[in-house]
Amino acid sequence: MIRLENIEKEFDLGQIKIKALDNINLTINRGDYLAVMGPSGSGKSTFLNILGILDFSTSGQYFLEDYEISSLPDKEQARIRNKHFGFVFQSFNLFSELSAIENVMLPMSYAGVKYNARKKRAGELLDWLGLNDRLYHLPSMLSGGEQQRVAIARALSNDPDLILADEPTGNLPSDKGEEILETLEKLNSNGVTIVMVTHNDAQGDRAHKRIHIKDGKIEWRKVCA
Amino acid sequence: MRIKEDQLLMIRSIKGRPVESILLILGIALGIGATVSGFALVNQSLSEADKLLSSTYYHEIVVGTRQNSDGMDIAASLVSDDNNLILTVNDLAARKEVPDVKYAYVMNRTHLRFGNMRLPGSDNNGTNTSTQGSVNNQNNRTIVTGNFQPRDATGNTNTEAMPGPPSDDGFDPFHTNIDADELTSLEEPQVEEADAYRVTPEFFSAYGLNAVSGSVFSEQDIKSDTPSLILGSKLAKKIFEDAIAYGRKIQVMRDLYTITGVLAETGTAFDNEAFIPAVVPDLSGNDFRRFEAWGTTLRFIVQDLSRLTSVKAQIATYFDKEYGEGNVDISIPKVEAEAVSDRNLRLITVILILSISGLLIAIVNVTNILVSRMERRRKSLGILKALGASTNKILISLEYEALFIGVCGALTGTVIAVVLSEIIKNSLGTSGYNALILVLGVFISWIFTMVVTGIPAFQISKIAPSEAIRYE
Ligand SMILES: Nc1ncnc2c1ncn2[C@@H]1O[C@H](COP(=O)(O)OP(=O)(O)OP(=O)(O)O)[C@@H](O)[C@H]1O
Ligand SMILES: [Mg+2]
Repeated sequence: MIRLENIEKEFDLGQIKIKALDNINLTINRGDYLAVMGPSGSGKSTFLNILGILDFSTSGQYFLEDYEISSLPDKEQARIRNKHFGFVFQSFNLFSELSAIENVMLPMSYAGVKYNARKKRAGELLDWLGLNDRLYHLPSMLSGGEQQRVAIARALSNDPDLILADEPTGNLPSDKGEEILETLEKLNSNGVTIVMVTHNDAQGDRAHKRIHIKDGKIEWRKVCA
Repeated sequence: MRIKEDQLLMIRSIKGRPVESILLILGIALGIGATVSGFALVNQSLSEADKLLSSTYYHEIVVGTRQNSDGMDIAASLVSDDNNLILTVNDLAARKEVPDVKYAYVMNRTHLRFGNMRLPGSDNNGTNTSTQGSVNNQNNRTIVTGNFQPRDATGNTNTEAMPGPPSDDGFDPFHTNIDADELTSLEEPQVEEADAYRVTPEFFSAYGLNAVSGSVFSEQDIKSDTPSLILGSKLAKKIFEDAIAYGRKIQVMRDLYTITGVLAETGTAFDNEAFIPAVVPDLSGNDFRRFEAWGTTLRFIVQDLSRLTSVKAQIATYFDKEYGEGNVDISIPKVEAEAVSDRNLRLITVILILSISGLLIAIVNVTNILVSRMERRRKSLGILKALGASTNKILISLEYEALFIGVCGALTGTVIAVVLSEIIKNSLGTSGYNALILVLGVFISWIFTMVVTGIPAFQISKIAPSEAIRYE
């Protein structure tokens, strides 16, 4: 599904340049469950951003189903993020002005889903995640675990092919983190591709594939049984 | 169609900060209001100045006696007996020696009281014999109008009617030309009094005043001594119930006047005024009309404004010869008015600078608030992009927001501008705001808001979502 060739990312800070990613080569197949690991500042988030077309590499090529991503117009990139990718962030990143259900409905409005249809689907997703009594609550009224579940529902709203999760359990107590992880694994077993950044070795071990990044390079990779 | 969640987000973020939003709207509104009304003020003053500069008044050279040179009626008691210089209609002859004078006329302010004033010695019906006798005396007719009151020998003003029969010198303040029968047939006028001018014929030519019925005064009217009256169009309509004035007779103080003309409407103050002839008093005798002649000012119209000063000098030569050097005061209203208008122009410039500074301050503040508002929303915008918003979509939604604030500000600003212009109009008596200027103001402010918000919106919409999301 995704092929990365010689991806490099450099941040230009004026006097110094930081090479956040260096010579990344990687293939991600449909249905993969990939854990991205590595020390702080190694470039994991940078990698995930480039993968999610939230940022661009300074050199190298990124093929999505044989399309070179950077050659696509902005509008098309936005459409890919909207319809094919789902994002889960460490700090949830819900809109504090919108209720849980409105947060989940928002990406569907970009996809052109009618109001009633998107409301129904958002309700179903939140119900599936055990939030059926929290539909009209603002994020500030929800616990961290609940917020992250709303964020997952939002990521799932347009039935994505790939979920990109940057330390999704990082801000949660371990039992709530476990719930989130189980949810992602359930999705993966339904055929959704998952790429997850994590610091937690135990979590990483549960993924089917692991890559370990250090100083912007893939130090080692491993395919689990 | 239901409102979309991203629009909901925008609306709630505006509503969530009511003070900031109101400040933004007020900032724009005050900026627009100040500038538009500032420009409206300038526009008005300029057009007023144009109007004044082209008016007849600006072509005048005014000649008066020392005492009345300021154009005000002064108390008769202040006129010393040895300074009994009185200018009369005859002095208009000065023009003969000055070819540049186009018109020469007398234009004296006075005030007329209309109506069935009780005649002395008569009852309300006016059927007393003493009025009968005065009819024979038509030629020695007395007109009592205006502020002039009979004086006694010591120069004191008589405020009470003088009792008794006419004195030997023929001075008779109760003189009337009204016949008792005529009096009963007179209609009661609807208007009790009116401002008036005592004028000579060329006054009408100078101001371009024409009669719609009857005619304006001729040289004959000045000499013939018939009590005739010309009315401004509005006054004519007001005086009689049926609004027909021409040819009618009306009592003015103790005399009966015939309305010999009604002027065409001019849209000026003349519409509400009356005109009576400035006749030549017999200064040698005891003609009571010598009182009327006090305060007479002679006006000479010079078409070519650049000739005003030299014409003034020529006219001065005539009067110096006639009355002795320096006894007559000659002034050019234009020069005096220009000084006033110069001062106004400086004031207006200051006001304009203030209102433009108001706009600038508004621009700076609005830009600041908008930029900081957008900065705060960077993260939200980054998330929106991650969720599938294109750069264009973000830009459009930011512009919608700006448009909303801009429109609210422009509307409020227009209201402020209209109110300020009304105040300007009422206090300066000018023609009020100009709709075109308002439209222009709203248009300019719309452009201004678009530019002011557009530049930061454009920059922020281009940001990579990863960058935006990093903001915590
Ligand atoms: N926008 C940016 N501008 C400049 N430098 C950046 C930017 N984003 C990341 N970096 C730098 O690139 C390097 C990699 O950062 P990145 O966020 O990818 O690390 P990470 O592996 O996600 O770390 P952590 O585990 O702490 O989240 C760091 O040195 C970071 O300072
Ligand atoms: Mg990171």
